[in-house]
Amino acid sequence: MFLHFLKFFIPIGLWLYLFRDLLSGAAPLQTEPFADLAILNFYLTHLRLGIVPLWNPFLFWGFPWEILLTYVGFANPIWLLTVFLNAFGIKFYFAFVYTIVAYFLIGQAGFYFLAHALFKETKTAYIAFLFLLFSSVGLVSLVQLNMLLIFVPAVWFFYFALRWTRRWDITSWLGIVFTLMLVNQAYLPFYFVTLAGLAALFWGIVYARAALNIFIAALQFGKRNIFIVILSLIVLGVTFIPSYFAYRNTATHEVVLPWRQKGMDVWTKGSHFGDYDKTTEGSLSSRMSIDDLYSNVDQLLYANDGFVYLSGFAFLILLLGAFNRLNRRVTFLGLLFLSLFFLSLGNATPVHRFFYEHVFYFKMMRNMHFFLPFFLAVLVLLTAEQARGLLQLPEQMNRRQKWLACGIILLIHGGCWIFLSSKKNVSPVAYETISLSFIFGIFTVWSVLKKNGYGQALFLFGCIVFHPIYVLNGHNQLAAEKPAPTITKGMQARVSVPQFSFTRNSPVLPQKATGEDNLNPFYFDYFFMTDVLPHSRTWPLCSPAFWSYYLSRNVPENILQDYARYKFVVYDSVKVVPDDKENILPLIKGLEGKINMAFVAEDRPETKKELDAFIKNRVVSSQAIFISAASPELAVKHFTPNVVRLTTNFKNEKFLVYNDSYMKAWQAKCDGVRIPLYRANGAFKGVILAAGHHEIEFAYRPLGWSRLAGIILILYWSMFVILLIRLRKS
Amino acid sequence: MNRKKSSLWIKLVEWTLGRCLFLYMLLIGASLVLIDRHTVLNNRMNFLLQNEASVKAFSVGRVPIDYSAFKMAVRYYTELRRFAPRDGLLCGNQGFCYYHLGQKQQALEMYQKALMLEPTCGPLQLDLATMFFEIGWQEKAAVIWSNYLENKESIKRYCEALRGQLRLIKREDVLFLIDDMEKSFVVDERETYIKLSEAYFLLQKYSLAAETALAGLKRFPQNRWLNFVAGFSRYKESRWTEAAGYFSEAIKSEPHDINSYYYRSLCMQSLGEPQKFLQDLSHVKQLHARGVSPFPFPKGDAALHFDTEVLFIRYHLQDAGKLERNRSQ
Repeated sequence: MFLHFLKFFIPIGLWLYLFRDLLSGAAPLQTEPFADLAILNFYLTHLRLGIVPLWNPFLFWGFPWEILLTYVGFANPIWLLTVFLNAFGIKFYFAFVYTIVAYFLIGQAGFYFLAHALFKETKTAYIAFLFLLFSSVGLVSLVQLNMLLIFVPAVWFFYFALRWTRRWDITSWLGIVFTLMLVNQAYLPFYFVTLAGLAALFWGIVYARAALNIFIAALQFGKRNIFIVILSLIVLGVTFIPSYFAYRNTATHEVVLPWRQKGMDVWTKGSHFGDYDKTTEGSLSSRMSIDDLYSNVDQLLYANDGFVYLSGFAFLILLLGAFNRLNRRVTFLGLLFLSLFFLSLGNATPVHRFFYEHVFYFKMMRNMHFFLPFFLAVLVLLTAEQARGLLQLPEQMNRRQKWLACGIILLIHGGCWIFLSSKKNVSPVAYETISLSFIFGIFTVWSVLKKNGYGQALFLFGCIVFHPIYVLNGHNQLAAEKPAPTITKGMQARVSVPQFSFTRNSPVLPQKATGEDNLNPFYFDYFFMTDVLPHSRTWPLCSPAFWSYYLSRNVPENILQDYARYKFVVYDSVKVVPDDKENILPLIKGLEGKINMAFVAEDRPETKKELDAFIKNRVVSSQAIFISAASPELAVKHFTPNVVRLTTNFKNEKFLVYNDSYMKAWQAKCDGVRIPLYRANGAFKGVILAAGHHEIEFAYRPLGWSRLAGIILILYWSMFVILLIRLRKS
Repeated sequence: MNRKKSSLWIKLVEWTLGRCLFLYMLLIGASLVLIDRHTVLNNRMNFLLQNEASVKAFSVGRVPIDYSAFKMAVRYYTELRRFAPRDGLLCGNQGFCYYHLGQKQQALEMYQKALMLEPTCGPLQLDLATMFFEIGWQEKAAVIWSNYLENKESIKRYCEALRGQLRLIKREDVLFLIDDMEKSFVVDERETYIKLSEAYFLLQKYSLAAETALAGLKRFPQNRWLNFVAGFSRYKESRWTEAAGYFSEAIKSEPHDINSYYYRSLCMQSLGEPQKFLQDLSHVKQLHARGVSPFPFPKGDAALHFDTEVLFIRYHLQDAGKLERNRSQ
């Protein structure tokens, strides 16, 4: 038991040591995980109060939060660890860092179990585990959280799927369902869908007969457990709702994605890319060259999320494995690796083009290098399989064959040595690994080391880990050198729940000239939940409401800053304008002059009729009333990101504009009775205020989502607990 | 024999088909056929170009130093130079990255290689001269800088020719780019005067330093350093009044110029102006107390402080009468 513990404790301890600067805060998080941290901070701060925030009222005049909730996989039970650590006094920043490291290690554990289930051998599974732990999967996962959030459930999914096809038990089925639930609510489920589809295709080809048997057995399982299967499908359907709504908002152009779409595409394309080149600009072919596999490995860049690194020993095993007997497993893994590798290269092969043209969701995908952890994991499994074959060979060899094997070992190791000598910037550790591997190979052939003994284990461990220690240590040093003063400031920050304010602050943008980092300014506003006016530089970095973005692009910024500084404006008269994007000039003049007339879009036929009194109304004063503080006439009684409740007491009937982005999912109520909500002044919410004392409520209620949010969270957490209990029992 | 040979081949094919080697060959073959190496290279260069941009942005002082970007840029230029080995500017840019990474020997080699390929490129010359200067080869630096200053008219002519070409193709809208370029040459010119005089100064060629400074002062009369160098050379030639005038100009440009105060006080001592001498010396003391450091030359911080104290003591002990006499004469 102690040895078993030590077997995992030593490599994990070593890995943690090699990432010491990130864990201690000496190397700050990069912009992408910092954005995730900021999003989670907003979400978890409100979750502690029992609210799932579906709307962020503090930035971009308010914008929907669903896309960003899926961006961090909001229902993933792993975030409870962050809450837990934070509750124990660990700063939120570090609680988050430790959580993502823990999640990465959970993924590694899943990979060990998967390898064990696949090879049915502890030693080979352990070799695979070591190779993956000390590969670039860890490096890229910590700078690109989206990869981690999809990689970990994918690994566990394949483990449970393999287990299920052998045991046909409920626990494995629940494992499959739970991992699919995690994939469902992730921001990038398509990478998993592609991987699973390709794996199923090649597996069906290579193991055709077994595939048929499994299909029949699966049908029988379905018949036996019809209730559980139907329930599982319902649960999967429910957990897909957040992702669906996030997608629907963009498909119906309620939300725009200027950080994905350029030019006029932002108004028309939703989440689909119209331009093929756009989908391939972040491919692996751009992020590294073949030389990077062996040159400059001590200078792995911290922020590079598309980098293949595998211990040098893996390549020697793969080369030696060329003389192993070809089996179905190697064929399956080889084909899967190659297809994923081709996809990750983007436009450099016709494979991606084929998928882009024939698979609908490929038009929504870019960053093909996100396939990296998957194909690296497959390559590691292939390496482990070859290592298994090589370690078994000496038992079957006679003396003559052993000499021949020694010759091949010498040839391959010598060839690698000569090849590396002809290249520039190859670290000395590469030659040391070759030497160590050569000795290990000779010892194995002549059975100097006892099979499955400590000597063999230590040699193997040394061969796998020797190279990565040097490489990851260099990476750690480079990470600490990377300047990020703004993020460093965020490390020490303690953030409290924001309160409602009647006015918005002016944006504070990092001054590059004074030595700030290149952090997108709005990340910091996310993090601190600052109630701030948007700036022209920050708009293209977010997913704002359609009309808000439209207004920001067409009205001079100073006019908007001046107008939207106040959240509530009260008008005596109204002008109904056509519900289109044309003729914005009167609105610009109205906003600039702060005239006592709101502009309401005629998005329903009855709009004019409902607002008739205001259209004909005699204007009492020339200027609208901009509310800057609570008064007997208007006060805010309740405020959460999703709901704002006001009390009003005006002598006459008024038209109130709440300068928070308009979207169709918003509803308004007066004294508990639903009233029409108008798109006013281009992008904001407007309601009629009757004279006298009333309670007005603005609430964001995307169809079903708001009620389901709590249920979805409970579903994930309870499923996780049930799975843990069943796994422990089994 | 033939049958034996053919059976050997069949065995070899059978053996190969049954080994992973066969799969590897298929995978490598597929990669060679399907991967478009030109696109790979293009993608790679586009991606690395972003890092080059950050290095260039740093060079004009807009973003903080990011060593990772320089390291990445070095790789970029190394890769790119494989395809354009005769491009001197690539060598120069790589040298620039090495310079900021602190690898000065590699930087020097790169700049020398760059200038061999692009002997007339002004910015490269200036960068190389700065490198020479920093590693203590002032004479080599001085040669490059003086060449640059001699040829500055050609830069103006070059800019004018560019303007003419743009007007010819009716692209007046981008004329501002040429203006910017010329402005940067003006900055380079000023810096070159300063550095060249500094180099001569360090080589103790005071007359050349003064010559350069005086030439520079015609273009940039307010420059503190040039005034100081001119003053210092006059001081060395015992032309006290002229020297004091230049020092005063330098002080006007930079009221905290501790060096100019010090040497003006010496001039005043020689001119027999005890009040002004004491006044300037007091200024030196005050500035020193406030932590204002002199240039590392002609006197270091401690040396200047020490000399000031000595001057005070000497004045109070014995030289007061001598100064008074000088004045009366």
